[in-house]
Amino acid sequence: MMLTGNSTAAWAARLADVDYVAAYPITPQSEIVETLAKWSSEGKLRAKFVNFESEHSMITAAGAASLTGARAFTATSSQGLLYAMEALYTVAGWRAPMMLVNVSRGVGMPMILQVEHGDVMAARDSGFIQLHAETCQEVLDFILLGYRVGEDSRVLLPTIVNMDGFVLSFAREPVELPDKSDVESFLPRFKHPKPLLGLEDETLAYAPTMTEGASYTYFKYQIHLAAQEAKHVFRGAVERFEEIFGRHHDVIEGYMLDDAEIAIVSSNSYSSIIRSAVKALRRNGYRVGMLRLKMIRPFPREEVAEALKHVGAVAVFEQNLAPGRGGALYPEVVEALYHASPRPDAILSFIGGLGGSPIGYSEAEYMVRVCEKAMKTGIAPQGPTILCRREDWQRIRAALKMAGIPVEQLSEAIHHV
Amino acid sequence: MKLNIRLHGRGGQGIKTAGRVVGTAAFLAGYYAQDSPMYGPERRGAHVSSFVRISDEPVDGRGYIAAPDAVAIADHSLLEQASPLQGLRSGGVVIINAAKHVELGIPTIQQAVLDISTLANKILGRDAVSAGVGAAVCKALGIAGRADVIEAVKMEMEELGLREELIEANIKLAEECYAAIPTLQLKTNEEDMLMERDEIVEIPATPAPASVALISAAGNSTARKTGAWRDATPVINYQKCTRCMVCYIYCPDSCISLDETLTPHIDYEHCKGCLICFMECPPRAIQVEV
Amino acid sequence: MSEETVFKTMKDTPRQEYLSPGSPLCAGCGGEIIVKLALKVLGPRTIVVSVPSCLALLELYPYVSIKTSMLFAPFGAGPAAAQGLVDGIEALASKGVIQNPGTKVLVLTGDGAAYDIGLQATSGAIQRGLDFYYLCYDNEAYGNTGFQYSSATPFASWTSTTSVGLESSGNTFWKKDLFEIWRAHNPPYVATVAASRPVDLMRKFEKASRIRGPKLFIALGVCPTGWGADAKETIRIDKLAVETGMWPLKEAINGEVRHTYIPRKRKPVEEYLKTQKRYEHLFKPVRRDDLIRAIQERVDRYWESVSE
Repeated sequence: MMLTGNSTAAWAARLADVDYVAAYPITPQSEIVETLAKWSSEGKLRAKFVNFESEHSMITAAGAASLTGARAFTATSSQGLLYAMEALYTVAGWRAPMMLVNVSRGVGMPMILQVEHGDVMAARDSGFIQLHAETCQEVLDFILLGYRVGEDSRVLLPTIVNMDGFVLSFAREPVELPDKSDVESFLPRFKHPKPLLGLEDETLAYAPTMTEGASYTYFKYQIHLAAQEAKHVFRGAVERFEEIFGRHHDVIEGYMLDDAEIAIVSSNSYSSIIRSAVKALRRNGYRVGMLRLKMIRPFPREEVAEALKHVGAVAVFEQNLAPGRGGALYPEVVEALYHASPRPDAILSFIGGLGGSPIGYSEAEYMVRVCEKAMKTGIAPQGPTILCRREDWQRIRAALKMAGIPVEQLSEAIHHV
Repeated sequence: MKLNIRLHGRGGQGIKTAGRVVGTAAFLAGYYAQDSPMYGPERRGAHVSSFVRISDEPVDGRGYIAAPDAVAIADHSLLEQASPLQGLRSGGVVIINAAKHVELGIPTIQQAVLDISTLANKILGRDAVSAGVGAAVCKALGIAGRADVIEAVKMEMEELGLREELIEANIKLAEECYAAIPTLQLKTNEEDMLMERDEIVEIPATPAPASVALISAAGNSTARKTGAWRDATPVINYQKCTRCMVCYIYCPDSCISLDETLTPHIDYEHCKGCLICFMECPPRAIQVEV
Repeated sequence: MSEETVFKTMKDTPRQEYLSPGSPLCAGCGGEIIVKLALKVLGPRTIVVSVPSCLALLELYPYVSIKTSMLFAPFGAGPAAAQGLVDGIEALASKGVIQNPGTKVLVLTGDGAAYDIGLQATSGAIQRGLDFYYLCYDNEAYGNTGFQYSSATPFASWTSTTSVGLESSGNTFWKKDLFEIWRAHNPPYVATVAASRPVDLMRKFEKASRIRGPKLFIALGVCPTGWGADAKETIRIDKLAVETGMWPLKEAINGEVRHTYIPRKRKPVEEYLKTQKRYEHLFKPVRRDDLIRAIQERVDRYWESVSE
């Protein structure tokens, strides 16, 4: 079936037989909740569907519903995710295994509708499990996997499944929709170990205020341990997933890494572009491969280290920019490799594709050449290196000029290789 | 000199300010000083502590003082409830707001006692002991001279925005406390400090629901004996009581229960002594005992 | 209105307690009396959703004073958490996963959440017709953080952020009319209550429990600590608020407002103001007749508009 990323997400919720959908619109996510609203009105989705007045309320409500034992689903993007930031920490602290689909979009200001991962990266320390999808099929698979892992009593944490705005959310491609009965056997009804139903014979006071650092530390650390455990639970879940649905998943994906001299680390939908660039680079004589991160939280550090320790250089390509730091994932990859033996000679940080800027062979080859130079000479750019095409630089200057800013005195753009 | 002091009291007594008086007095006396309060979200009457570090070098250390050289206790009922003496070092000093010597059962600790509350009630009309405790600590530990202490009290009371006459009254309280308490010789040894260590452990993963922050013991707050907050006790005169239920209804803490005959009984383990029952009892059948 | 009620006198107060002794709240807390009485009517199958406020301390790890279930939610999202609970239970019941336990959900907040940061979430929940109870105990400031100004702070009141000094006589704004804001959403039931009127309070909760949809209460939360009064004065101050007409007791059923008590001979507001240190500057060092009069006039104007 040809489906967009957004409609695939809606299908996943429907197949997972969710009990509750909490909704609030935002571009480029709205199609998900619109689809679910339509199905709900037609009786095709047996879930309570509620429109909220903000993402902050929407996520709080979805989390509360999941404490009652309901399977809760919600979706947002960008500003919405940040508006709900407090609620993210709350539902993770409640240990409410709800599902949040984030359709990645740049975070204002300046405002933009196109993809960038600054939104989902801001949520990386909230306690949510994060699975980042490259394809529409993965959107479906990750939602089913996410529920299965999050609802496991060893984990009990909410999950974000991330897909790229426009590039994936609005792109149609073939998606295999599983049988409902298969989904039921993979994902049986959620059973909360301590459902909050207000019964007099089981009174539960959830999320009390703490007065001591010791108890606070204990519960915070349990969230961490549960998040770590999610990786192992995920491992078990993907085995069962493959048995039932025939598709294989792992926390990372290696592509042409076996004999690679240089590896590009990537995530989400732009990985498809990187993959095809890697193919082309191979044809042009570069020994290059790709490592795709599918699970961002917990961060699969052992797997990353194992996959990359033999390469000479690593280019960490990211679509987010933490001002004053650079790429948010770069230090995580460096840390994963720091204790590896052997380990790459160079690990470099590249940032591109912000606000939906295009990425292609040029960027991939440039990253590889900068890595090569670093390996040979030991000279590497400070980083993060921003990937901007000459043509785009001209466009930036033209726009500045149009906006009434004199451009004559601006410095020229530099080139590392 | 290196002196770590921990002050304990109840919310409303002015323990934070007492710590500030000591900190400011030490500063005026030429020392490096650091003072900081610590309190939970609890209300008036709950345990509050404050920490003062004084040194002739820049102060090292922050936050909770685990092994103080001296402890000040503004409410001696805390001795039973809050372990204010915990970690007090051998040879250390305890300054207690009490009418007479308190038997602590620790021979290595010296004690200075002064009934600051009575003085405060006399001078200020209420149990606001901050200036008194601050002055007593300064004198007992030989931190600062009289003039510096008075100046510190003045500064801190002004900072609180008190009216002129209240500032004067606090200075008077400080003067009386300063005069009345002796100076003790600290015998703590700085080297002891370096020896103190605890074992560091790694918290294990625990299964749900132990890993989830929740309480499944409804109403277990009865384990918290708030009766100790009380400084005045309501007592029912059953001859006068008409069993009207008014006290039962208005008790904020459900500390008054009724038996089958609607006779009210006060739970003194928890009664905080708000005295709403005394005020509202229609036949005036409740008296107050202090 | 002669509706059936089990609450005719104070003696009808249910004897079941859902609030345990030993809370860390201040002695004489007015808000605690309100919660205690409300829970007596609502009963054991209640989930109390609490948000940052003094009363959140009723659930202070590892102790809990409320004997029903509780959930602590973000400051601005109490009604949203309530929505998730109500909807989750309903969704599971409609799918036959559980039997509907008939659980009541009570959002318990102070005025900071109700008047300020949670107003948007409350507006949403009321508009969606959520079947829940909202109880705001209004102590007219952010009491839990040290008594700072909120939009519920009355005119001329001192708070720690509406200071009193040569240039200022406390709060310069008039208290937000939350009752009317809530009522404008057309909920089936809105009421004000006061601790000193327990029968009125219990009747209102009883009436509300027969109604489906949003049931909203604003309670005067006399706060001896913040207001600067002795703890034993709580009920006396509460009574004065009612008798001076500063705290009208009313309800609106499907939008129609009715006063459940009309003080025939209203006491001068001064009698109420004098009991609290937060208004001390109206009397000392010089008497501020202008401010006292402004408050009195406002109260008079209100009651003139009340038809019997």
